[in-house]
Amino acid sequence: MIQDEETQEKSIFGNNPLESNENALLQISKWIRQIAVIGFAIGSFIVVLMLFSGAQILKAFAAALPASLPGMYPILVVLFFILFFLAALVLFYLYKASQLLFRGVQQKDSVSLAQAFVYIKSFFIVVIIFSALQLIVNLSNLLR
Amino acid sequence: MEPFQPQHTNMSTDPVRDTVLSAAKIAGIAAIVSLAGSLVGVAATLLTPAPSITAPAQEGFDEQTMQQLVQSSTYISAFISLAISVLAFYFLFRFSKLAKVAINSGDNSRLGTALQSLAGYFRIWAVIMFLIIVLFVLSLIGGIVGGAMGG
Repeated sequence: MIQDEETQEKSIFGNNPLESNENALLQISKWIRQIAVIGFAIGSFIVVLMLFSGAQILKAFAAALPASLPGMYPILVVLFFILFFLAALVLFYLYKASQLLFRGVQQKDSVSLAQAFVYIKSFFIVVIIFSALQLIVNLSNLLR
Repeated sequence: MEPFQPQHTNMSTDPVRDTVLSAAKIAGIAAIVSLAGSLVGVAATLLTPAPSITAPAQEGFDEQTMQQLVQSSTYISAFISLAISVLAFYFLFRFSKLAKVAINSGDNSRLGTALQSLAGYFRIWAVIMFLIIVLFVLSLIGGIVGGAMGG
């Protein structure tokens, strides 16, 4: 009886999610890779745009802000770099997760799969931080 | 946030269960916070009085019509972002809920459904990002063509 339960446990979580959920994991890997690749492309586009007319764009943005202060431009530059590197970090997490998921499914390596989900978890933590910031900004706009 | 360094000799499946479970818990929180942010954003757009927009008259439209066009495009973009947020919330929250139940009860088919939901969530964002890059390229081509035609 105990042996039967153990066998059942193995069939459910023994070599899974490598076997029965292979297709779903490959789908996740594919879409995450698409997001990472498109994100890197958009990032490169923004880098080129900022190299040519970054100062003009940020100065125009600083002037268009509702509460425009004299030292707003350097703050915007620093803010831009922080956001840019955070976005790059998120894309790196996604790219690594995609690679590890694919490797985990191909080599039937549960450790790679576990690592992939650690990266996905890190991605969701960053999503929570960005969403909380968005919530605070929107609340302040609503209550103003 | 540095991922742990695994030992490749250990083929135990426990790390998968644990990491999927913890990712599912965090995903549930992320789904709720991002939906709340979007709902408050739409409420702020609809409830706060619109600032006076100085849109110049163009292509036969007078200034008032241009202002109405700008305002209605703000509302449309708010509703599109709300629709995307609700859809993303549905897939992410479904993943979170199903994955937690599946791992706790050992239901492999439900875990498959949960992973399909996670794939759906990432599919939505991949499509949106694809549309963003298409718009970028189109605006770039438009800028180049406009510049070449002396516009």
